[in-house]
Amino acid sequence: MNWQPGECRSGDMIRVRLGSIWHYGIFVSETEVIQFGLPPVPAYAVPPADVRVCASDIDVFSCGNIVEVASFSAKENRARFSAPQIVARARARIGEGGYHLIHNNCEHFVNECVFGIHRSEQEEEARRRWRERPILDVYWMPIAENTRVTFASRERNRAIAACRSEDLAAAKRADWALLEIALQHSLGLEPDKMRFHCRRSGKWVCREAEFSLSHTEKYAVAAVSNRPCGVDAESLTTFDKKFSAALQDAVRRKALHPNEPEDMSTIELWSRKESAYKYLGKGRFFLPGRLDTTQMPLSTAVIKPAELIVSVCGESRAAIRFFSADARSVRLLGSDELEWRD
Amino acid sequence: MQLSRTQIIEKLKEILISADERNGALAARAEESASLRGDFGFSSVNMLYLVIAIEESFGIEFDDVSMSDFETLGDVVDYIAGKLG
Repeated sequence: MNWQPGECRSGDMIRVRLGSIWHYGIFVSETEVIQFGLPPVPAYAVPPADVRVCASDIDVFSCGNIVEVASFSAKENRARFSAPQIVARARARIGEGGYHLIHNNCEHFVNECVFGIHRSEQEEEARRRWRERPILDVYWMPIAENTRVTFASRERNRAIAACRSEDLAAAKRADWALLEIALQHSLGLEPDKMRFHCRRSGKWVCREAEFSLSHTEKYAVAAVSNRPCGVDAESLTTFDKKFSAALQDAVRRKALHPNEPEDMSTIELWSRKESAYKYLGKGRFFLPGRLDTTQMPLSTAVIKPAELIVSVCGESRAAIRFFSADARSVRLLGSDELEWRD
Repeated sequence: MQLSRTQIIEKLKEILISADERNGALAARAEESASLRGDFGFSSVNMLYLVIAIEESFGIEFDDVSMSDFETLGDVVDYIAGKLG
């Protein structure tokens, strides 16, 4: 179906744009356009019980906007009723109620008149947009909160059991416990029914979602998404003691971060590089000097209660949500608990 | 889907942010008394998107209700709780 401004004929399916949505009607004549509810499309203005199929002149229908006329493909032309039938079907429904903004609106009405089909492309488009919206959710949890010791992936359980350091094993257990919470909460997945495996690059993956894990001495951090993502967390309290002096040496800093802004802190540079490296998911070795992050979809925030700096790679900041989790509950992080760095 | 009122509110806040990122700061700390139109500035257009998002997220279908039935966040929570209950 194509829509173009043009001359209207009796039985035409027509529409006008009102703000961000379309209002539809069946054209009979300049003085008779049959439609489900008068524009503007009722949402707040008129209770649905008062909305009826009615006829108005073209000026009331269009509200001064450009009227577009539907033209059909050969297949659609075979499927539709004739113009006199369409007009008769529309007229027969004048006075009918049952309006619903989503499930029974002006677009459903015209499609029923023309094709005998209850359908709204606007509704379908809104559902498609919702289902396909970018999701990038970041969760954090104190490692000490974790009580889980085994996970859905047996391969992962074996890898954790092989850790020589108990601290590292505890951090990895917390990461995976948090990942399972995140997969369930954000994507509605059931980790018990999923299969995880480790690529030769060392990156853990699954078929149903994209994810990335990180941890500091005290906290586990997990990002889950429906698109590739990378996350890295660094502790604001311990990073400087461990790395900053060495990395802030001017020559070394230039070698590690040749393209990044000079005024960016070392911890921020480092976490952004690590998250970008995880996002790309290539290679076993992290070579920060060869990784230019300046054009990558990166955001950095400080989780204030944990004194963590977290960089997230994969989506614009608008799509990123932060959650606090423990074994019992998940909570959206308040804006006063988060400080964006960019 | 069995959800407590607190869980419904949390999920609703998440939806509000996903439906329009400009809601982020407000949604995270919003109370049940927050007005959908006054505080969040929801128009009929993003209300349509919001209703669809709620249907998709909670697995419910809105009956013949008016958007004017939902003045506050708490009204929406009541409705969802009723549908889930």
